[in-house]
Amino acid sequence: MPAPAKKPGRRSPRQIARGVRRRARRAARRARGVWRRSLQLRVVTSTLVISMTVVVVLGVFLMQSIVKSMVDGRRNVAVAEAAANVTTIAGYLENAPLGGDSAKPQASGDGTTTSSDNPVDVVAKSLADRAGSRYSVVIRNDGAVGEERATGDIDWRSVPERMRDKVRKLGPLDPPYAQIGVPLHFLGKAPEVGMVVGAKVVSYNGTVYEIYHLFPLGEEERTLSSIRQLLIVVGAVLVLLLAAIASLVTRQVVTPVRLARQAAERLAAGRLEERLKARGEDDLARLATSFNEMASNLALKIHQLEELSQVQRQFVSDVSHELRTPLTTVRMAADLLYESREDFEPAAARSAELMQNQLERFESMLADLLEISRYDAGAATLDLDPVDMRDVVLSAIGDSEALAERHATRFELRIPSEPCMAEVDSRRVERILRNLLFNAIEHGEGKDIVVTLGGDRDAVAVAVRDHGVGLKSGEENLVFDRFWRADPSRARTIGGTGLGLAISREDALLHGGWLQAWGAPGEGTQFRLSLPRQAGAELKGSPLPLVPPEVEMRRSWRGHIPALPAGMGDAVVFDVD
Amino acid sequence: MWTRSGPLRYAVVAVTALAMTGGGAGCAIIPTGGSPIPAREESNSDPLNAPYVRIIASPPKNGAQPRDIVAGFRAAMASVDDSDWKVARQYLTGDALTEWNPKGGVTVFDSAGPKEQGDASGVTMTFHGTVAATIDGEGRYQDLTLSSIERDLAFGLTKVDGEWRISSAPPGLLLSSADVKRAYGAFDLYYPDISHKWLIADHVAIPIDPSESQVETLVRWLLRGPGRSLRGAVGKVLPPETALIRVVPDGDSVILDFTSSMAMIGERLDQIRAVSAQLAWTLNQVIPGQSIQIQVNGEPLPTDARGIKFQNYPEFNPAVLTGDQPAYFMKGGVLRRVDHDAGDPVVEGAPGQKTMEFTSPAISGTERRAKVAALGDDGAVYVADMTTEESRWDKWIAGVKGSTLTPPSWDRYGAVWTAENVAGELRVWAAYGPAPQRVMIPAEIASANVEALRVARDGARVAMIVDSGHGPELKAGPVLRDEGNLRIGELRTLVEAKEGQSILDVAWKDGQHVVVLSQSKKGGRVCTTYSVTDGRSEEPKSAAHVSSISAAGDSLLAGSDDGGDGGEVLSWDGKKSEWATEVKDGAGSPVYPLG
Repeated sequence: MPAPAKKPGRRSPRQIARGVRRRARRAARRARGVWRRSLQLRVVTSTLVISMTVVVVLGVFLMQSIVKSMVDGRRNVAVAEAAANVTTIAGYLENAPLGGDSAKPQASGDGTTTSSDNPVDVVAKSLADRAGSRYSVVIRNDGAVGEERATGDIDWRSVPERMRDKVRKLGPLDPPYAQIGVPLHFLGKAPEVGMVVGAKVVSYNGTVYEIYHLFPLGEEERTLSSIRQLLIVVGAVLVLLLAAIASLVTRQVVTPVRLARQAAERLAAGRLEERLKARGEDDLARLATSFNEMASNLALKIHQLEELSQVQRQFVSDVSHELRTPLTTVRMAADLLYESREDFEPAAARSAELMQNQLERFESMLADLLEISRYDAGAATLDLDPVDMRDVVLSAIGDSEALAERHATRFELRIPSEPCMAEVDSRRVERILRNLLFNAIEHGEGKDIVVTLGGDRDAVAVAVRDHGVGLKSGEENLVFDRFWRADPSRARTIGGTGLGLAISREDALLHGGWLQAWGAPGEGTQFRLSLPRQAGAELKGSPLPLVPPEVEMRRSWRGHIPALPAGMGDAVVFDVD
Repeated sequence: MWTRSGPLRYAVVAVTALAMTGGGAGCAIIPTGGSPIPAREESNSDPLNAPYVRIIASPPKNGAQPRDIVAGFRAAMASVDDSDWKVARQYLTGDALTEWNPKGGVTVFDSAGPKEQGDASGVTMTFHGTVAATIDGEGRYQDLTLSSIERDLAFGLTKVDGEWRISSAPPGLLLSSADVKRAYGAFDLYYPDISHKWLIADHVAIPIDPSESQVETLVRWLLRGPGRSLRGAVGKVLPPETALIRVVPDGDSVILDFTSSMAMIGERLDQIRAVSAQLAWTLNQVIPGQSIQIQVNGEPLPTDARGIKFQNYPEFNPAVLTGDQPAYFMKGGVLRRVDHDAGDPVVEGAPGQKTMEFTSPAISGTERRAKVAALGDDGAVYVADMTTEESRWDKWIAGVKGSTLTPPSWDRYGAVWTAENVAGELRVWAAYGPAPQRVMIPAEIASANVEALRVARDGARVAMIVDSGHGPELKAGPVLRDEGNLRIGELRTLVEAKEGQSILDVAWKDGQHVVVLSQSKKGGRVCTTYSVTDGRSEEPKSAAHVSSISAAGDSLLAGSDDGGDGGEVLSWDGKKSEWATEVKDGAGSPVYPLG
């Protein structure tokens, strides 16, 4: 395993960036996890989004209609007022001044008619008095000089040029023009949005006056702005309220569901006594009731199955025991027959030999059955002693020498020179090794068998490798099943009972170790036994690789990413001592 | 599912109910069944401004005729939009552009259309008309309609790049009466007197400034202090270097925010009251009925608990006399009070007794125990109390032997004023007690012959009938008070000397107006009211047989004297425009307190 970043000192910017990215990714993953896990969050979020959309759409619509009605009302009032004013002043301007001051020259021809009764002044003054601060009036005139007036502090440039062009073209009976949303400028204060109503009046002597009424709409704007603020606040409160309601309602549904989930999890973990509280008669209560029924049925079934299994195991054990007594008798008789076989006819002598062989097999099978039923009953115990594993291996090989010679098979030993101590039950470990070696000889097709012993600080391992037909994919775990056979048609050539590997695995597990198999068709098989050096210590890894190193190397030479056979996910390559 | 699902059914019912309530409420958005309440019209007036009209100055148009150029220039001069007259200057060229100074005073000139005279170098447009008035930089409006000065004012025009431009123009601003009426506001500015007890009014013409409110304009003028015509005659209360930061309307009141030096006035109650009264009276012309709040840098200044409102400062009234005035008159050698119900009783004290012969009485105040000043038979000024039986005549101003003092006149500070001619020298006296004080006078009247001297009731101005050799004329001027020294300031001639015209009497109507009794060459006597601040006069009232007058506010009393016992006291009936007899049978010398 690569050593974790334990370098003291400064981190480079790239590292920092990577760290930030990692942290962001982690946060995103966590958020995604929360999102995927929490039903309540999803319901509340979708409620929020939907209600927000609805509130925004409704608010915009409402605001638009309020603005429209308000502006329309204001415009109608303003236009009516402006029209009334224009009618009044048109009546004044269209009629030639009565009598009056005889010295008064023609107005249009002469701009200096500044005598006190200049009609424009009279008109402007009356409009100013009438307007007060509600609106301003601008009187423009392109013909006569000095006949242009403005009331109050309005900047006369507020009248848009386009408006003036239109007003100049107005016919005598045309209605006035109105324009909304014109920025009104003032000489002494800040500009305001307003409305301009423009009309045309032709005086008695043909001078064309453009009369503009400028209505500030600041008040309306302020009102609308406060209405909008109110709408926004109400909308926000409404959305939050809906979210809160959704959260509350979902909570009422989700809490029992969550309880049910937790109960199901506990049930799955084996706590069959787990039950749900069922309150009321609603759907959730019915769910709880069904769940409880299911749990009790399951518990019942499991109990029944357990009992059945117990009975069967007991039966096997009993049968084995019961068979031993007659077998002993049979065996004694058979021994007798076997020893005196030379006196028999060849056919009878052959039968005695066969019987002797099969009886031995039967005995060992019975012994194995008894052994395995002891495991099933949980009666197996360990007899721990610190031993040198090299001795154990050598002893097992010694036991297997005879069989190996019969199969013309040689052992290749890879054993460390130093002692390799481990706290194990040497009898059981020897049995495991013996089983593995017999198995290897049986399937090794006479090729060399490599036995490797390795150890590290915490664990020791023994690997037994043959170069036989190997295992097909998926058979790595099947080999440990009871009475399993790679090829059912193949006869057992050596005294395999079909239980050896199963017992070996039980033995290994009893030590807190692993027994694993690897194999590939044509490549042979390797079994690896890994044991902790200290009894009871947890095994974290094995000192030897499960896949033989030469196979691994060949694969990487081919340039392939090593595709491990299924079931070998934890194949981590360790260095061999 | 529809019928079985309980919650869904409830939801449907609830939504329907909600919709029905909402729909039902729709008809009652405006609450019905309200009770009648007084509906006050919402004020549509600007809280800080009276409505006004501006002329729009437009730059010269291409191809305009000389006539239009001059008209446009005059319109631009009358525009108040920009204080630099940038538009007006676009009409000018050459000398006119450099020499024309719009800030060099205003000439109000009413004229008929111009005469056009062309020659090789250009065109001259000449206006013929009368100068109606002038306005100086301090806002002093001087009415000249009575003088009827006729004048020709010429504008010279030349062509610059094919366009007519004005190359020579009369100096200063040339406005018509209509322009002044439109672009100027006529306002009374009120200043507290030296003792901070009452206000003195000054009438000015202030150009409208559309970039600020009229309240701001008036307060700015108040902060600037009085012009030449009153400087030194009034008290200084508003601290110098104070500026107005802003004016904010606040409901029924207006907030005036001043710079920090204004905090000085907070130290003395009389100063606060004087400033409050000054602001209340001045701003009442623009924002009647509204109260004023004074702030210093946004912090409220603790002021009079009554609230600064015009109605709360009646005692500061510059006209001094208000309402029904107690008037006095002479009959049978004693002073009587006009009180028809009580039979015109004789006053108490020495003036009511025939202990000494006296004429031309003057009363020092409205209260019962006021003093009476009168000319004794030796020509000196005597003063006596009107209260106790033990009162006696004290000689306050003796004068030089042989000379005659003018009838005495009281001011509100408690001084008796009179004047005399001593060997071609005019001497003016003021006395707070038996030791009179000489009042310094301008050199122009040092050797004039004085016929009457009346000090205004507020003590700020004095009106004199003097004759410098051309005939009697009426002059008025401020009374400058400097550490107790009295001096008459720059005099302004209200009624010029005319051949055969004699000015018989003068009386103060209020702080700014005098009523003048004059006799023309043909012998007709008229009473005319003049404003001492802007020189405007009202329509003369015919006053045959009237020999002396006294006025207070709108009341006008006259004494007619036909020499014998037929003397009468008359009062002017403004509605019928005729004199009504108040007291008959030898009554005369009617007089209102003070003045």
